[in-house]
Amino acid sequence: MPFGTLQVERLAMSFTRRQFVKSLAATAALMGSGFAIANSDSVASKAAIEKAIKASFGGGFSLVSYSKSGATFQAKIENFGNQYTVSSVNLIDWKIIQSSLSS
Amino acid sequence: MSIKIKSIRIHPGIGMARMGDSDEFFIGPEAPGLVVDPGGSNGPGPNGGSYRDSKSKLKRQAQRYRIYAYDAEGNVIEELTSKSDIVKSLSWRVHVRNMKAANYAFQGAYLFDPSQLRNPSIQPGKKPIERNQLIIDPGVQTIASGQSGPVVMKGDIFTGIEKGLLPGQLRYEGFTPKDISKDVEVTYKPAKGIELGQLRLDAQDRLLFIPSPGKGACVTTPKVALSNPSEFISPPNGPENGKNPLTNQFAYFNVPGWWDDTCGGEIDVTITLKDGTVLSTRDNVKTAVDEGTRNPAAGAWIITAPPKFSPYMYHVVSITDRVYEAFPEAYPYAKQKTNFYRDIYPIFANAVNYGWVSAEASGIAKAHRNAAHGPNQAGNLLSPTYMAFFTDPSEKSKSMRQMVYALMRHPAGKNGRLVDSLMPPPPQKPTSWKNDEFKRVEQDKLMPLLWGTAGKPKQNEQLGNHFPNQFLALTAIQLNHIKEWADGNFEVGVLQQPLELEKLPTKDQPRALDASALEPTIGGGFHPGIEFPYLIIYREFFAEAFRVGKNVEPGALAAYMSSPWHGDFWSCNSAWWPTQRPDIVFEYDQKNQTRTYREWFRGYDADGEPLSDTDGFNQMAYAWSKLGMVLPIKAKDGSFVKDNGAVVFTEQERGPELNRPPVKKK
Repeated sequence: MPFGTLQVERLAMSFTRRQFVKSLAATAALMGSGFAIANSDSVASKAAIEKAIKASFGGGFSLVSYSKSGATFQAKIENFGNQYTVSSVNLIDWKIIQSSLSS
Repeated sequence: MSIKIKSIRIHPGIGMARMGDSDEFFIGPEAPGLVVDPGGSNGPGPNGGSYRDSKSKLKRQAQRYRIYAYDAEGNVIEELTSKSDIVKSLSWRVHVRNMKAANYAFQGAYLFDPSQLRNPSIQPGKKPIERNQLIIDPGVQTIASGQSGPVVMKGDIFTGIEKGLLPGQLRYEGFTPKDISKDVEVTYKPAKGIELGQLRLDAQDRLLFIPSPGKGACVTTPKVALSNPSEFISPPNGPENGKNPLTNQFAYFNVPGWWDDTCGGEIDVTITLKDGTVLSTRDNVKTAVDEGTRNPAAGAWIITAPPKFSPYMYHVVSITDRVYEAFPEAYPYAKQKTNFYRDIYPIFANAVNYGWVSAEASGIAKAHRNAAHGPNQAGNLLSPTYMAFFTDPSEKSKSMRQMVYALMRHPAGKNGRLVDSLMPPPPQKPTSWKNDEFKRVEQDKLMPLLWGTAGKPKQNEQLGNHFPNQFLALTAIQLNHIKEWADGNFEVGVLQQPLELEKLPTKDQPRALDASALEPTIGGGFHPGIEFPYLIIYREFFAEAFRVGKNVEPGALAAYMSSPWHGDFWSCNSAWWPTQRPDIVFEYDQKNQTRTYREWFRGYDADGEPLSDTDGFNQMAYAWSKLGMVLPIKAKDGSFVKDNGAVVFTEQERGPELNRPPVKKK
């Protein structure tokens, strides 16, 4: 096996978790009742929301878009071609407010 | 009375106990079809009990063993307990082991290779039973009348090992080898005092086997993390062209340095009657203190396994079905006319229930949308419309019945038995699958749409394997009933309400105990299984139906399961056995009769990372006991809420700690 390939593979082995913004994750873990991301930049917010969505709905759900109105986050998420619109005030407890599922 | 007694036997012959991280326990099912209440109050159990204790820990499910007296003709006389007039005392004898770390590597039933061992550098060249450094063996334990406290069965593993070499391609916690092509030197620290279970007596001195708390850990430094290296290194086969079971596609079944606290083994009892007579399930026992030898037809067996997270749902093929497949002479309805509500309806109900725990069966996945088993989908076999056809034996409904039968998959081979393609039995390499009778193209349009004992088709395609039975098929007994029904040769019968053991005639109680212990289990696909491995399909390992054979060592059958079980429990997250380990779970809006789903395996791990397929092998060891139960919703009158004839199941009693990232200590 060529050394270059080995190095790439070793790197892959080291990165076996999703590479979320670690500082935000740490902040989130400390907050308990809510994440302090309201004032963070949009890229960081997306990473935190994506992480929260996966924790709340499962790793197979992906974030399509999101917005924030007042204290409420709203996101469109997708899995198996099904779409949910979900909302949360603390990025932990998410409520499904619209679903494309019919049965 | 004692003059009439010719022998005694323990029932169930094979018992099932399920792990939990709580110190509390409840007793598992003792009659077919009964879902037992887990005890406590204000919970979703059948009588209002809760599957979790006051600290949200998951309760263990114990197995109770009972003794029945038989006459010379083999007729049941009565159950014997310490309250029986003739009984003076009872003494139970139990020997369990965990032999997983010492066993052969699991690489799929069809690829079994006796030259490949787990932990291959430790005690190499020996048979599994001889690799004593890798066996957790508490030795023979006894509990007798008058003994109030529990007997805790403990043992050690990885003893007397200082250092060893492990592949650099494994994933290590906190350590990344500089050159993964070279082995890594690790040190071993023995794991001591591992609890495999506890023995207790109930108020009548029946035996209660309480399983272990479900722990597992790695003893090496650096620690090996649960993973599948072949996902990252030379996929899909892994390094060395997939020859090494520690790093190939099957690596997570054979993780070196790991132990878990599951077990299997033998249960015996000796009874002293008031007239001095000594009865034992062991041969050559003349006095109460004689050791004797094992009589497999009278003694029993225990298996410990992960929890069943959907206790009201049953897999379409259970281990009980496999027992009857291997021992058709023991099947109780062999010469009876097919009865719809006894023989067909349960299969359909089981299939429909998958619609609440499986992406494929629920119809949420695009490929199966509107063609699955969800309440308003084409495959809701319990809808009033279908049921009107299904319970009509006339010619008018025949085409509908024939259509259902035509959708059923049959096991490969002329005899329609899974075992025929896997001969000879382990520890020999199976070769029979190469015979012409097993060559066929596997059909993904047939039912059940669940993976089979040969493993997932995609994986086999990647590996270039052309095995039969890559999908699950019903047993020949089940298929024959469906054919008789489809042909119109059936009686409708009535839906039977399950009866508690005490309400059954004494003569029927032993069989009820045998069947009910193994009814809520997975009888395939065996890859390798989740409660009992695929060895259940071989008559060779059994003395008779529901009785493990004389020459089987305690722990030797369970040793074929994944080591540890946690990685496999995560990995089987799609179309394997969602009635034990749901793939997805639903919320249900009763007002609008709509539902939404989430993945069952979700939440935050101990490091605050989302549970996901990225690290699921390793995260399951933390998360398993906190995951949710899938249970029916009760209406105000206590009945189950239904949608278009199908019982509605939702996720309940999920451990709350998964829903919050852990608070980090300063």
